[in-house]
Amino acid sequence: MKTYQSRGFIQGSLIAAAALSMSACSINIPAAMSAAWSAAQESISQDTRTEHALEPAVEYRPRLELARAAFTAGHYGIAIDHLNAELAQRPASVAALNGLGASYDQLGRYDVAGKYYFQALELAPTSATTLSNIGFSYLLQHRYEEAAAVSQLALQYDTENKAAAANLLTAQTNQQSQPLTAEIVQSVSPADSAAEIPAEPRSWLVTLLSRQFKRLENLFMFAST
Amino acid sequence: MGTLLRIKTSVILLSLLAGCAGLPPGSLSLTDSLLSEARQAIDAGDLATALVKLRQLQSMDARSGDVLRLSARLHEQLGDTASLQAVHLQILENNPQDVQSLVWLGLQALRSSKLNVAADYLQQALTLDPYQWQALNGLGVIADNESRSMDAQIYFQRGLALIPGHPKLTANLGWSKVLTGELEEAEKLLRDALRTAPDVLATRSNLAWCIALQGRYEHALDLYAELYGQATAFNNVGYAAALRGDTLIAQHYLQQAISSRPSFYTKAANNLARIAPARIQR
Repeated sequence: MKTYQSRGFIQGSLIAAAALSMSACSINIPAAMSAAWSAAQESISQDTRTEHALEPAVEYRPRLELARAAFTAGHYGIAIDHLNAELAQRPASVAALNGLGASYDQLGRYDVAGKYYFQALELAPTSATTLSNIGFSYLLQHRYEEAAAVSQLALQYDTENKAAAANLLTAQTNQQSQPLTAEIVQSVSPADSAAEIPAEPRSWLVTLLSRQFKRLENLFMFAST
Repeated sequence: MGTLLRIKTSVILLSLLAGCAGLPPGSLSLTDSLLSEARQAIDAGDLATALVKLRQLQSMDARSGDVLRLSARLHEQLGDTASLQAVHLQILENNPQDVQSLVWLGLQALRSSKLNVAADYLQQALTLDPYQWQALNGLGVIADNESRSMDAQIYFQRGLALIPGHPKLTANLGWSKVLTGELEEAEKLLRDALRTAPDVLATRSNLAWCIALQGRYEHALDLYAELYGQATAFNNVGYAAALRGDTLIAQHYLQQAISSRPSFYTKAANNLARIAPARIQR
């Protein structure tokens, strides 16, 4: 495969991009070379990279795509690596922040996930995708009331958001199930108390539904805000 | 001359064709397509592409609501506050009920300590959209600044009902509880906020103050020292001790502040002077 690692090519692209930004075109650098491009870009002096407006229209999708592929395959650590690299270059990337949140959610690090989601929300305060992801994170933590509230807010900003609708449904289902659970536990007679009572009798349902909605969430987490 | 004109015409035609090439026949208009591409570029942080698309859109219709909103998003990402303010005012000129612009202008006024202006914008936004958690947060901050902490807490709680666990709302509610003297609850809220936003200096500082006010001076000292260094830590904790009536402890810490950093003398010495009469009364 032909690679384009030469500094001259990159600088040429920068100049071309700056020139083209005045016209109606954008530059498309082939996806396959994006990694080589970004490696070479590190060697460019800082002064060519200070102005956002002069940055070339680089192919940014592949890194997110790689992250998404790793995430879907369950390789959350790899996804996090790709997303961190993306974030290092584009600190305002709502998609990368959401992806990091989703990845840490899958690793059970809800505190870290929350940190990224709320950073994303800071950048896009009415992003239904981010709100929906926060709702899903609460679902994973069995915080159903909070999950329902955030999912409802997500739907307020995007009534078509399927992930938020699904998360809301799951949250409401589990919220409704809780009083019933308490009743069952309270009605157990002392004689029966030796029998194993699951702490969360409906957790199998949560797990099952969560798996379904996890798939949905995967589809939407990188969606536009 | 004629050749040059022909070349220029060809370039313009090619540019237009390039813009249309990606469109499936009969689907989106050029404007919609450009808007969509620009939004996607902003979402992905590719601001150069977004800027190119925006320029194209502006050449077609600079005052369209969609183009202005896109321009606002882009300027926000670029951190260009002056242009952003101009764009939001323009958006409101077109549509006085644009909630996002009302919120942005309200929060900007709040940052500049123009509380009345901020309250006006944010109240309008909240009337139009009762789910506007940013407006609720802003109005809460304004209420706290005007010593209406009970009102502030209602705003923050309404915000938290919409987004439970939001670190900013949680931290602000925590600080409001510090102001009303509900220190244990305040500490819990500030710690909750720090779990999801551990790097926010204001929250960490407020937590240190909250802990100092509860008389856990050593703990507060550690937290403050981590943030501002020893001298400030001794001064702040000394001041908290003075407020609690622990005069001897206060005096000890304030003297420590002075010896840690002689340049700190005036501030700590003033605090020390303030507690002297209280000590005599004891």
